[in-house]
Amino acid sequence: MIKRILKNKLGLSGLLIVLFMSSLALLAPFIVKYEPISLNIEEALLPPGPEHLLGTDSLGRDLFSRIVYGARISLSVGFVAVGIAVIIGIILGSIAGFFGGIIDAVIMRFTDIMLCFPSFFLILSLVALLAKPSIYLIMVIIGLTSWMGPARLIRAEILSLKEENFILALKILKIPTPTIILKHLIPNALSPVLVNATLGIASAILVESSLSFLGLGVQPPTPSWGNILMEAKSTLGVAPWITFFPGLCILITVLGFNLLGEAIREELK
Amino acid sequence: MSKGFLIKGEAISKTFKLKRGWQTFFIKALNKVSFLLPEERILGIAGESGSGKSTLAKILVGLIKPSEGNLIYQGNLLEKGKIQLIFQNPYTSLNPKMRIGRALKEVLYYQGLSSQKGELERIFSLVELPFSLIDRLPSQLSGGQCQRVAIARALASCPSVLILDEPTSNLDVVVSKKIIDNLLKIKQTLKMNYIFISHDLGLLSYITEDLLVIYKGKVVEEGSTPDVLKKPLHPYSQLLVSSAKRDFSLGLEEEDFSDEGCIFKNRCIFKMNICQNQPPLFLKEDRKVACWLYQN
Repeated sequence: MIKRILKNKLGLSGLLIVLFMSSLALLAPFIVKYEPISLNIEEALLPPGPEHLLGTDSLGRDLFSRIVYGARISLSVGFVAVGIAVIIGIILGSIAGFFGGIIDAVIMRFTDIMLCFPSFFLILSLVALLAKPSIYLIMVIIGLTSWMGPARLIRAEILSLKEENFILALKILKIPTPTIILKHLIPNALSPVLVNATLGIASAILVESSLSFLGLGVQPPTPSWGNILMEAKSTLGVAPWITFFPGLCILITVLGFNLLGEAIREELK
Repeated sequence: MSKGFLIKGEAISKTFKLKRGWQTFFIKALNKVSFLLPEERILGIAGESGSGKSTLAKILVGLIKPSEGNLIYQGNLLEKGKIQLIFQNPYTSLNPKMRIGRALKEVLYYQGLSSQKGELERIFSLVELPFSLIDRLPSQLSGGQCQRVAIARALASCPSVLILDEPTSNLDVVVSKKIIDNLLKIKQTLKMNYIFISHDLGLLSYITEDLLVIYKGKVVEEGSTPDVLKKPLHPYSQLLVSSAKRDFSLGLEEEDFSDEGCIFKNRCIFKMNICQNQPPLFLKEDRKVACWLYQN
């Protein structure tokens, strides 16, 4: 499958973007020259140049360093939040799909209720409600409000898989039910969730940026793409590059995950 | 028959409920089927598609419960998983994401048996599979090899009865023959009992000793395989035997689904007035046949 995704030009570019951004995030301390939070008022609002690759912000912090460290925050929020969502989705979806009946009805109605809330406002109010927004809290809250998609996908897959002969054969062989679910059903139900998760990372990154932009997400001085944008608001007229580069990063990263997700979906068809 | 029986079915019926919108249909897949699986005999069940053969197989292994009737198992065959089922399409009966060695080890593990290499080698050699295939996925095997793996997995649970539901109809003739011969050898070495379900009379005559002919969920004829196939009594059995020889002179007209009287009357060339009534099983030369022709 990986080979065929590499042959798909859009998929390949998506994969390259994702790999590039991930390596930026992982290797951040080795890439940047300046500390992302070290102030230098004398060098405030410098345009992009050889000394400061992408210029500096209103407090004289190196924008390139802040964006690279921001990638750490944004990507880790994306991966962890989706990880939480997928784990919850797999647990609820597989239980609902396998046991059916009343258990299925209860779990799926709960899922429907969760889907009724406009998720961004739910996240906003949860963050506002819970005292100090930290990056971990953001991850957990995004995860807890986006498991419904994976849960429905897993349930649908398991509903059709559990009638397959190999599952019937395992039942006749008296293999215990938890083993059947964990070792046989879930591995075969995962592929559509993979697509969903890849696309989910993109939307989690967007949610985190929006939250940070609104001041409810990652708190300064820790850089995240969203709060760099927020701080750049006031200087948009004098120093447009401070808004431009983090915005571009969000755009490219989200595009990368979406392209990769679409390519995987095409391959699984 | 003195040796006793392994499974005895008494008037097994199964009705499926089907909902289409507001309407509910009832489909009678099995209608009062009685049979006996004696020890150390191979029972064959013959019938065309939709006759209820596979439903019977699923009832026998406990996957579905009969709507009516009794199943009597010797000892606790069913609870201990001593009855195993082999499916028609071998590729769908194995987990496509699990290597076959692991699939076998899993069964051995939950049976509380050793899952050492030696044990796996023994099972592989039982079904005449080269041990080098152990790390393959089902998709990397041929249909015949896959079916052998499915048989090996069933054998790993030490069953006493193996039900084979059209085990070779997806395979070519040579491979089928090899697998059937292998199964006969396993019967000798492990004292295995088989129930063969098939539409293929050639296969049934090759391997089975007793034969049950099913039509529309009802037993129409029952007797020893050579007798039934050499001189079929019921018009439906006659039709089956003649069409197996590519002789369609007995007719293959469209059927209808009326349940009144004899189930076969609309396709039968010997149709009489009495056929409006349901025939019981008449005894004729140690065979049972559900046809008014054999009333006396």
